Amino acid sequence: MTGERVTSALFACDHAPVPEAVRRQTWDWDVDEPLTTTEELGRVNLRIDALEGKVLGAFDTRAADLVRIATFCAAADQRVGRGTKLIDIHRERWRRRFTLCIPVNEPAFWAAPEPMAALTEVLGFTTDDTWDFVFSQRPPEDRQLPLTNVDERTLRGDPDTVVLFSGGMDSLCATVEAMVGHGARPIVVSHRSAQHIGHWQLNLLDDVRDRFPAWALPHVSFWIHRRGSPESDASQRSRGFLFAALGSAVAASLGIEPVVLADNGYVSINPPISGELVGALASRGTHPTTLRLMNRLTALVFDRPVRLLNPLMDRTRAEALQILTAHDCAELIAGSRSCGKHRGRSKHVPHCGGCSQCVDRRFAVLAADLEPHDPAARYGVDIFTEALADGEPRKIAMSFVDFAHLTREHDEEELVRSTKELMACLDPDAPDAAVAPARLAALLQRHADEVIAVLDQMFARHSGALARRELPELCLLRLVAGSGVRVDREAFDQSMVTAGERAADNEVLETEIPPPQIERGHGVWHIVFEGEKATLPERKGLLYLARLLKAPGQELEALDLVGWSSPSRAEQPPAAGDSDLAQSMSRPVVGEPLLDRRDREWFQERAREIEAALKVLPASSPQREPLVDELEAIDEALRKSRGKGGRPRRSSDEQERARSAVAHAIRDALVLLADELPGLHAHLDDALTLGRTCTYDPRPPIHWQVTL
Amino acid sequence: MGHTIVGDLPKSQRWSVVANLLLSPEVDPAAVAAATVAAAERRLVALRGDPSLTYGFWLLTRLASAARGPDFLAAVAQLGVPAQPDDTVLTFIARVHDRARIELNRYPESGPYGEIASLALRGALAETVGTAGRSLFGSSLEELEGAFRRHSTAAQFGELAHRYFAEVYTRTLRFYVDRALATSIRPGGGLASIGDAHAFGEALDRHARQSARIVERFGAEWFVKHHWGSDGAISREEVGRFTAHALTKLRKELLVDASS
Repeated sequence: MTGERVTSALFACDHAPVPEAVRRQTWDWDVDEPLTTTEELGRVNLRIDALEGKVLGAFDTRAADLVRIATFCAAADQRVGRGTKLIDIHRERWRRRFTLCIPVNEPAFWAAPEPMAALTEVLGFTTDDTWDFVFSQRPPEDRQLPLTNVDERTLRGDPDTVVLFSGGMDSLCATVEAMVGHGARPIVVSHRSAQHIGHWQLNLLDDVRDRFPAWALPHVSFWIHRRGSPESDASQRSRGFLFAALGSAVAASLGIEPVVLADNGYVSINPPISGELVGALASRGTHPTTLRLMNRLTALVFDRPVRLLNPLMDRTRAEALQILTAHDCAELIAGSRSCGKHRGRSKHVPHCGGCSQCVDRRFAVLAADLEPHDPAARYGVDIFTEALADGEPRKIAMSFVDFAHLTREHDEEELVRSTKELMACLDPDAPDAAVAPARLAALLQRHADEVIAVLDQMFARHSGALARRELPELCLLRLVAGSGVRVDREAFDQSMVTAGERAADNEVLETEIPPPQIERGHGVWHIVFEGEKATLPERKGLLYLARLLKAPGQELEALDLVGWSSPSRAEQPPAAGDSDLAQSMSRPVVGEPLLDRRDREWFQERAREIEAALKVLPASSPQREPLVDELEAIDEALRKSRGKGGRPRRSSDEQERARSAVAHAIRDALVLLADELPGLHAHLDDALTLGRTCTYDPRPPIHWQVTL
Repeated sequence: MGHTIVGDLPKSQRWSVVANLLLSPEVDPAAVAAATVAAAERRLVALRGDPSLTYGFWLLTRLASAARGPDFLAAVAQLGVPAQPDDTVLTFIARVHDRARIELNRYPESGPYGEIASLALRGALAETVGTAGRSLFGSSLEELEGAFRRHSTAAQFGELAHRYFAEVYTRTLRFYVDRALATSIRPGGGLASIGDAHAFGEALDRHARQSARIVERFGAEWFVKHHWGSDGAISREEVGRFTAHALTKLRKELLVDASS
């Protein structure tokens, strides 16, 4: 007896045949939802663009296979839930079992024991899932995977390094170090999951080119995303594999060996700052073992050597930032993004401040003395001086500091002995295997020293406010202060001097940001967003959007939006009891059954049975917990079966027509916005949810001025 | 840090007991441990047959018995661990981890206990050398073999069991409790600061390790009673039965500790 049955998913990709023996097994997700790249409206979009130039050629066959395999893995990963949106206390839904049937150019190669083992091993380590593959022959008439639009002029410069570029601090530092520090000629490879590339990412690359014009810095971007049903899981633990596969495929196709996949050592190790972070709950995208296993795979796949490496592995983030200081380009930091919750965020406040990536970034920037380029104002919360919200923000910040304290309490050997996860970072066959443990421990200790030094600095900076108790109780400084953390007097005195000097030198200016506005005129719409303005022709979709922008965070039924599309009803809510629509089936949330009146009565009866049983079961009975869980699930299902005001959700046919109409109209409007206001388009792409109910849910909240 | 996924404790009655204990003026590790074990009972009972925990302990016992044989490298190679003569203890542990990782990936039904089993295995190996008074960094494979040989078979089995299951339950408790530990910190409360939470966490770990001594006591007895022979080469099925018994004993011990 063990945990609940594992979620098992079978995907037929690009119409691959599924062996009958496989099909007959029990699956939670199965071939009814195929993943395809070969159709115009296929479920998985796979497109490779470089941003300038012409078609260069095609990926070699195995490189194309690797890209497709990685793409389908990422799509499957997103499609199958793993309980991250629920309180899955035992994490029983976290690990899944996948079988992907994929047509490839060389099925015999991929099905051979060594490549198959290498592939499943690297995926298993990075995702915590179990993977199996059935490979079949890809039809020759299927379109090739072109390496498109790479400017031949830039390639005459003969790039010699691939750098995987996410737009974060570390990939920025690695790019600069490669170009300027080592005189390399990198080609950057990026991945995006939306049609448009984040403008900030493009802008950052342009900034690097402007700053260092000697090399054109060619860029290849992969647009890979899954269309159709909303993603069931956002943890994206396969993304590291996808990213590495893309870079390796480009390198192999261009005859390049080194592929830089850069993250500072602390991020790569991603140490378990909390006991709940078991396995890949702490991401492993650039973990040393991930790179080792990926290199084992590429050595088998490609005839020419392709080698993934992380040049920042032995550096903390603050140490990596010294690359920018050394090359006099620290101002580039402002254009980088680290936040794990960046979607929908303003370009002026691009970081939430509370996620693990933001916390590490904030400390690193302070430790590197580069705060003017990345001030607190660009973070949604200043963890040092603002109250840390319950949940992740408080947990992450406090665990981060606690781990630093723990690290400093141990010498190198004690640290390795107590942090067994470090032992998983070692490559036993590496030439430096004997010294690697000490080096890893030393890295963590330098990081811990930086954290404590930053705390000292911030204590000094806010000593007056602390003494006067002006800072909130639940800010990081006050939460740390209770433990009697040592404040170094000499450092305090020195920091008072440098704080004064810094205040004089600080050139960061607060700019006035006009509030976002949408106003309906005569046959036109006037929109202002993040300082950009546009006047657009009348579109029904813009009216629907305006209604949603006026009610952020609220679920609006598509049927109601359609009902309000007539100008005479634009401002009228539906009449109370406006249900000439019969009470019938409720709106189905994806994957959940409909609830008609009989279903509701059954659930209500079952709830009463459970409550009666709970009254008589002893408190220690093991039967209580599953009954409590079932009761909570019933409450949730009954809640979802009710619409606004407690009314049952309405007829599915009319809802479906309204859903389709609203979705088409809004998408039509978004196409218009993509050209005119790309920043707003990107924001809405992240913040909108369309369906039978529609929601505009920006994070952080944005208040629009809406004039209809 | 890279991306992390953290969660909360459910609002059910049992888990609310754990959450409330963490907010109490005097936070008692034994009481928190007992409440956590009670709240997670269904899952912890189900661990009796967990293949990952069984495999981890089985591999540990087989590595120990390999050290008593004439050819340690050949014996561990048969277990899928390609050790080299000049391996240090840490590189050997890394090889063991590689082998275990492949096997444990076959059991997704173990959930987080796959990784917990792997961590417990590594920890037990590292501690085996540590108790011999050697530096972990400088120790060779030969010293690991010597550390394994230094005990009689039955006593060593009990000691290995203690190290392994202590780590399993330490990790288990923290897997749940840490979800609420940081957010239980309240100025003026029982856990008033990060330092208080850290000290509590260490106390909880000590409590789990101390409770796991029960596994050491009956482990040696079990070994003798089941006549597992002088070479200690125990089958996986037999280890599975011991693992189930050990987990049950430890779970009940943690429940008892709070009430005593």
